[in-house]
Amino acid sequence: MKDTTPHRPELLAPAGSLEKLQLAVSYGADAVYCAGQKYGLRAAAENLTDIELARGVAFAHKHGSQVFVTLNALLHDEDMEGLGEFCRYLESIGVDAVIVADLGVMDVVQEFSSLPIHLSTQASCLNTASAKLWKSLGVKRIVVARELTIEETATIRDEADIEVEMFIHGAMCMAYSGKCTISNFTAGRDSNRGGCIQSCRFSYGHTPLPSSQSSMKLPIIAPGVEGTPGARHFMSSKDLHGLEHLTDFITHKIDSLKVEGRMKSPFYVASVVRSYRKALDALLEGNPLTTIDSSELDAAPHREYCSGSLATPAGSESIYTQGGGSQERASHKYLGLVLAKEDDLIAIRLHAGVELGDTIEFLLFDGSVLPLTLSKMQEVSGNPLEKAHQDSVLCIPLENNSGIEAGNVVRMRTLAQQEAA
Amino acid sequence: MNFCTYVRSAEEIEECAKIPSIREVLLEPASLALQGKLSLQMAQDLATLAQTHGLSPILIWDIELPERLFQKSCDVLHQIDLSLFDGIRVRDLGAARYLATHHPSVPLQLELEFSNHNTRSIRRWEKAFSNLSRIILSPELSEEKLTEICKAVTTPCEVLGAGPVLLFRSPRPLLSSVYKEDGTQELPEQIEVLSSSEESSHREFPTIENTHGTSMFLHKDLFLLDKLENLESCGIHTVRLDLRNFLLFQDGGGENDLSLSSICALALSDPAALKKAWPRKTIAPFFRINKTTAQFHRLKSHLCQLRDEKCVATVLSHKKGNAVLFAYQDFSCDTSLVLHVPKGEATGVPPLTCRSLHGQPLKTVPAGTVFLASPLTRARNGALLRKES
Repeated sequence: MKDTTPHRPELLAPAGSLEKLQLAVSYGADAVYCAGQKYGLRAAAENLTDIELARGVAFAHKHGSQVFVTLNALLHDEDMEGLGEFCRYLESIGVDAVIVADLGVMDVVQEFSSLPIHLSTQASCLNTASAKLWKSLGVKRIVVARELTIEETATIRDEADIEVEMFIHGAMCMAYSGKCTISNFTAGRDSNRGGCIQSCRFSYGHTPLPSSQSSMKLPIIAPGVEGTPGARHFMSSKDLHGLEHLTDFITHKIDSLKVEGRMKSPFYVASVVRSYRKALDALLEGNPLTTIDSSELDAAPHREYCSGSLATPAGSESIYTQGGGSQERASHKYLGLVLAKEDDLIAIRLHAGVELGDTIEFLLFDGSVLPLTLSKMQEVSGNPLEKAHQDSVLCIPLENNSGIEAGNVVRMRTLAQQEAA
Repeated sequence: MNFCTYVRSAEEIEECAKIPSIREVLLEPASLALQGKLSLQMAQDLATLAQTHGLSPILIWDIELPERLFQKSCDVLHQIDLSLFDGIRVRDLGAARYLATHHPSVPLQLELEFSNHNTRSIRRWEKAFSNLSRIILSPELSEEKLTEICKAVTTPCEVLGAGPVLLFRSPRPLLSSVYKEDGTQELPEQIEVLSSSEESSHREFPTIENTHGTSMFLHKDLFLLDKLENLESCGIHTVRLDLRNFLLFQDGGGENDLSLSSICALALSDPAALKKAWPRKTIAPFFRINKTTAQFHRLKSHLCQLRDEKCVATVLSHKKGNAVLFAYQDFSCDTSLVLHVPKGEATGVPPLTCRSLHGQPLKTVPAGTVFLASPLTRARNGALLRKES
């Protein structure tokens, strides 16, 4: 008998720190990916220490989620020191898989552990033949290159008989991943070992090459001034927004849907994970895509959205020509996280200031939004407050059992949104 | 030292044939190679001509191959008489596997320039392909690493000796988008510009868009021709001369009339003079040492390393010796503790008085709670409280 159960893809979220890992799991991620202090691609990220990795794995497993650890830097020989022992440690704490881009790193993982290996998108796997090769070398899952459509990825999955993972949301490299060395040669920072300076986000001018043999003479294009509407960004990609393609991901049996953003805020992680969780669950329950509200994906700062190459190969419509302005595009301002709740009192670490009379919103783990107009607030010491500043800890007495929990994200509509409302 | 170079005409092959150090020529069909200009017929004719001159013709198949293009590209390959070539050079690993599976007798040259910088990976790639005849190594490897790698593999290795460094590849039509937005109606088949940015100190990066996408190159040429003896000592088998954009990218310095034969002759007899005459500024940034991770330690707070099993809490805010903290683990308030501040200092702290959010005195602070502690006179936001060793 034919199995009519709809395919349930894994929702995979970024965890740049232990706090974000717990947040991602609490807001509904089936799995998270994070890095230790070395071997990952985000040198500037907080990342997790060994003990935090162990705590993160324990937390995730307790909530039925998996943890994948990125070892996806393209390492030089001298960077490999300690990698084998680290792999043994990861295996001992129950990490579910490692994400690798480099065959040398894979070799070490295989020598020192039995950890399942996912091939990072940094390896830019673009076709079935390549997937078969990586599979023969021991890879269990391919995080395919961002240049592939959902349909092509499904072909790879079927023909290579391997798990496939695709990015569904977040910032994108304009270059083939792992194939950009601008930072290496212009800033002395290896982009493939975590030092990308994001040169693709700069505004550039263009002058036709004087020796060009072309009979068509092109005009000079000035770079414009960064931060103004005239700035020209020709190699900056819009952000990926795959919500409209969720049905295709399911139909094509894509195994894992990955959200980009280990460097992004807890607010981003919570909003995006919760949005996709709700949408996926609704679709799997048989609701049509048209009923799904995608407005939560506008809550946190983001660039203009596009669908990348999910349906058809990305073209000029995917270039973020105007640059900048990701804050302006957010419907909400991030206020902070509920750090603790004791009886009727919650403590929030503030990322931005608030004052009495402001209406703040709690993003609950089930995805619902709880507004609260601040009528009473205090310091941790109990002193009453009229205004609370950024980087302080604010306590709010609650009058009833509101459903607010430690770990909830707190936000506020932006001024523009308040005026529009 | 053996040289190889790209050729696009019969004249260039005839010139190569006169240069004893050139034994191999690289032929790029437009449909298979990133910077290809040749028709399939032309590529085969030139391969035949190269053979008659005793040169080894190598077919370049270096485009990236998304699934939608893969079979089409293989079909193009099938239109070529591969027996005319002494090898095929690929970048896409799928293409490499395809050749190993379907044409196991054709020698495979594998470009590992972008993402393979350790000996283990290169050794494993060597094992993965029994038909491997050449490994093209990264320009980011130092002399010491080149030596180690060449010793570790039996396959001959090649590096770029002189020519533009490819920095960036995208399949997207990035330049035509800019020009179309600017109102330019008609665009050439290949757009060739210098792209510069204020944030990159106005350095002018040659950028080319053609049917295969957009490529950006470094503003200076890599130049190792004054280090040929070192390369030979490293065990490098072949040095590649990339003169495809020699005239196009020239920046006004040096000489414009350097011929391939004079380059090869000067490289062996007077490399310093060749370097001086080179028509672009030159660079060899990583040959001595690659320090592209040297700045990383400055990107990160040293406190990251201290969030270990001894770390009990972090400071969230502070005022006049009173601090608000978050506990990572249960700990007794009479534990001997050290405060580590973000700037790196560590100071012992006196026994703490701790209180809960409700002001209740605490003897033990439970994990996951926010609490008040005093006295913590040197507290800073983000500081860590750790158990004393």
